[in-house]
Amino acid sequence: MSKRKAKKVLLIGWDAADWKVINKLIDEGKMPTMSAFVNEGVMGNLATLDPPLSPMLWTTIATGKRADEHGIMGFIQPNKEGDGVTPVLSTSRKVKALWNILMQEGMRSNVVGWWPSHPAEPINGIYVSNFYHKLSNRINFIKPMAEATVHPKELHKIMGELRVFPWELTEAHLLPFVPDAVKIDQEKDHRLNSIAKIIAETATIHSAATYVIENSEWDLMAVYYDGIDHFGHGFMNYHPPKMDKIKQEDFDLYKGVVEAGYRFHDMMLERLLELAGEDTTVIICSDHGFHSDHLRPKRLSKAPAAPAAQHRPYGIFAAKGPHIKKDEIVFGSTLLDITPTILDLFGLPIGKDMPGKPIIQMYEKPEAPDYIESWEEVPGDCGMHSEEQRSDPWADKEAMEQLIALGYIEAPGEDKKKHVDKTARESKFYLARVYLDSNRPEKALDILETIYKEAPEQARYGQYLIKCYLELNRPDDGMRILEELRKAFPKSVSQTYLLEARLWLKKGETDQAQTYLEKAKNVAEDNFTVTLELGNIYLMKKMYTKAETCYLECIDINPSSPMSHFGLGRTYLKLKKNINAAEQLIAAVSLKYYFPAAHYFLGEALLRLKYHDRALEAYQVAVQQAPGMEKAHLRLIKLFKDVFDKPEKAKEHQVFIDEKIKPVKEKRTKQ
Amino acid sequence: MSEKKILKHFDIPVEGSLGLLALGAVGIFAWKKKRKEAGYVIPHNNFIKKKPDELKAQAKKKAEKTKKKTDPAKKEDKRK
Repeated sequence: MSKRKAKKVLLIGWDAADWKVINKLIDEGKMPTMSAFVNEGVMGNLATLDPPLSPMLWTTIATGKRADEHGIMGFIQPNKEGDGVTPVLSTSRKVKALWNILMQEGMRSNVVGWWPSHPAEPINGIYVSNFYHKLSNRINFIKPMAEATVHPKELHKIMGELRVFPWELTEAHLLPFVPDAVKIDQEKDHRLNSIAKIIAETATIHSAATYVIENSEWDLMAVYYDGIDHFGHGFMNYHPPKMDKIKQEDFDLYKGVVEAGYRFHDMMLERLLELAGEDTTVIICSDHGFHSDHLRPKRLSKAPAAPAAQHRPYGIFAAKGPHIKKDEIVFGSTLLDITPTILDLFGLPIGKDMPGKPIIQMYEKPEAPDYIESWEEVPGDCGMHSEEQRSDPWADKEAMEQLIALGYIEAPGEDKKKHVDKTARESKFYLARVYLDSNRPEKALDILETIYKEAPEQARYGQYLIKCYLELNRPDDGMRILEELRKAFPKSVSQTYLLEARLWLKKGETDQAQTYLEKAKNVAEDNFTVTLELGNIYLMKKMYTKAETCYLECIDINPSSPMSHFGLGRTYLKLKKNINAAEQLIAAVSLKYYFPAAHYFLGEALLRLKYHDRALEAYQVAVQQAPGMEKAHLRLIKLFKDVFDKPEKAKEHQVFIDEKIKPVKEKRTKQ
Repeated sequence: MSEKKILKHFDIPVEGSLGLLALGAVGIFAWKKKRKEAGYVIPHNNFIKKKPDELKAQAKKKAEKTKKKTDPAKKEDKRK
């Protein structure tokens, strides 16, 4: 059985926190607590999932399951009556969260503000739902706390007293965010109100969290702050460097808001760490990052959840505590890994139905984790809502429609019905994206075909349907949809060039693909993706100088893109510039460690440079990450035989090829 | 750090501070207590108090603007 490594775990969620901003502030000495934290522990990127929508992602963090399993889909859901929509609720979660699993193991958890967590679940601990800190947009209004916000109910009064309202805030709170606030005409410019609201909501969560940490016994304390995300959506466009579309006077006023938001979180972190104590294992994570530089989108579409385009695909992960390495970087983690990691910290087995893995590389002495089939099958009270309270909102909606058809209840008004239908469709769209993101295009297909048929005016549905056909190797069907989109949206033809290029490439027509990518490059707003794919085509067509130019341009746009360094490394290999190739491939694996192809090609470069030890290491990482990569096994066999004189090791790899890889290949050939 | 300790060792401003918010529950309780003791009235309007000279300048500007709008000579010019 796995050993318990953590006495207590404090899990801090900072929505949208991003290393690009944090690292800069640490270097400038503006986040001293975070700086000390990463020096005393480990840090790394946390890859997000698609779609990058926070309620879905935070539920994944707390359950270890993807959205198709956990059931939280987007921001809103139909209400119980089926005649309107409500924010997503904890009653829609279909699987156990960490706190439910821990309750069954006799441990106590506190949960504050997790998204979504309303109504509060009856766990053995304190639970404050995400409706607790949500304030009215009317700044001077005292919004009463919703029923079922707090468990146990006895704490309702004290939690109410701990809330902070925007109207209580003064210059002392606002000037650190907007030093020149005196210049603002507050009658016309209401952005100070937004800042006050975010500060008040964040302070409310923090006061509840500190209260429960201090006044209760706990094994797990999970607290979620949405302030960094809200400051980002409201004020990242004013963050330096100045964006062209931002007026100078607005930039001068609001350029410090995002930075002040991070610094405020650093101050709160200091207090949380002080209260948690040295013997507590602390994990800080975010669900996705947030573009803060030249990669900020110039404009956002009006589609639902469009602000998600501002999100960067990497969130943060940092951890410190007993048995955890100090001042180290961990690679290759995703949101799916947080629940397995915390279960492992408590010495509990990980569900085999959880697609993630524990981040054991953060330990001083990593040990193999334990597994069970599923935590869902473990009987007994786990503090989830009762079966009657729990509901599938989509099933409820259908039940509602059935009742309406039978005449049991009145049909809602036409507009309300349209709204509910739209919400349902959008939720199906997110589900299809979950399937595409987890390499299950066959499951996404039906959904996308249906919603595209229902709402052809939504170009997004058609575009994702084409992506699905691409995954399913059905380029002709993709071309058919593309033609329909062009007819329906004649003004947006240029936006389809990239998709058309991908379809031609799938058909094996590289010349056509090149033509459309070159067309796309002339008109695309997202120049990075187009240039990268153009580089890939040039590389494929052995046009190495052009490929090099494209990849260099990509690195110039986004130096932290592993794919650009990977492409450039492969190009240099072809050009026999082996040192340059090795440099680029090292850059690629530093940015994205879980990248077997990059490790393989790094091995190739190092082999040519006769760094045999390091080449061996690179090939070994490649097969560790992708055990089915036959060419890497073959290189290892050759190196073990010819260079290192270890025939027994060479034999191990040969046996692996014969017993594991060949049968799969034969099976595929037959199919 | 307890609320008592904060009240004893720190000079808590009635207007509050980000530091007090960052202290969490004890900081907020201490601030609210101080506010009550001092009979502090929360201004339910703008967050940022303007300095008197700035207020005067703003009022002057506003008056000029209104004057311009209502000036009959200007209105006549416009009509022409």
